[in-house]
Amino acid sequence: MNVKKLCTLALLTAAALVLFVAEARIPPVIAVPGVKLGLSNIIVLLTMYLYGRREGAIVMGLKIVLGSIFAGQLISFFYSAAGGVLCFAVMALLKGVLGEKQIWATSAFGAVAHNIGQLIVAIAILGTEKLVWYFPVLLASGIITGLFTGVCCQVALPRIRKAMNGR
Amino acid sequence: MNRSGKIIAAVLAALLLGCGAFFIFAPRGGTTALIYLDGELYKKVELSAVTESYTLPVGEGNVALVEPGRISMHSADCPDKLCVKQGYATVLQPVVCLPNRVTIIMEGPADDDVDIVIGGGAA
Repeated sequence: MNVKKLCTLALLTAAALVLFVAEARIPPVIAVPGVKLGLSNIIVLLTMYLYGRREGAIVMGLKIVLGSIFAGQLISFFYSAAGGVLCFAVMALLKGVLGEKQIWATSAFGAVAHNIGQLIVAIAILGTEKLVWYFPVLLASGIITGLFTGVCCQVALPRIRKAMNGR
Repeated sequence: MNRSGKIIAAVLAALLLGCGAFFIFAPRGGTTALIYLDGELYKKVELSAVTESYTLPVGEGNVALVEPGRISMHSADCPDKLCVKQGYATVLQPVVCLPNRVTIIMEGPADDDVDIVIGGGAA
């Protein structure tokens, strides 16, 4: 890993954390735990398409660990970790299948996987399997927020790539 | 957009429609509130039998507000207060406090359980 790449990955991680913290400050539109925009996933997606899956995993992992520290709740680590791992697995898989023209779809499925992971952890931690009633809410919100972040990444990717190669 | 893109878009749209149908047609009511704390049933409140409102402490940090026929979270010591903002618990929308591990789940009359089939259709 050369210095330029190291710096860029550090910058991307910082950007992901800023989005993560800033998003937590936005008052929730729908007061349902687990429904959130997931803006920091834009950065994870960008990293995955700019560098590759391994680098994407690094940024995602750092974001989860540092983000949980900044959020100040240990319990949120388990939710983000389960969601993050599932989300990343799905996105890494779909990246190969769908390609760069369909980042929006990769992102939507990733977001849904993220919400499923969180729901599983919530059921395990709260010990009430009746929370499966939440699933439709989380499915719908995952599709909508995932499409949004995916489109953001798809629009940003060629511009960022151009800027990076321009120097 | 190419062919696979269209198919995916159609699948996602169908899923969203399924969720929408679920929200519209799924049962809302419920007469019994089950309050879970740390994964165990803490209290069962028969809401149809409640005549006067009262507050009910749940664990250390949460206070539930029991009213005739409905229940909500009155206060919580967690930072985000999502459980308070969620309002009244319904069958579809249990009130959940993730930090304190408190869940308020509504249960309808026993014969309502058949309605779970709708959830299967949406998934």
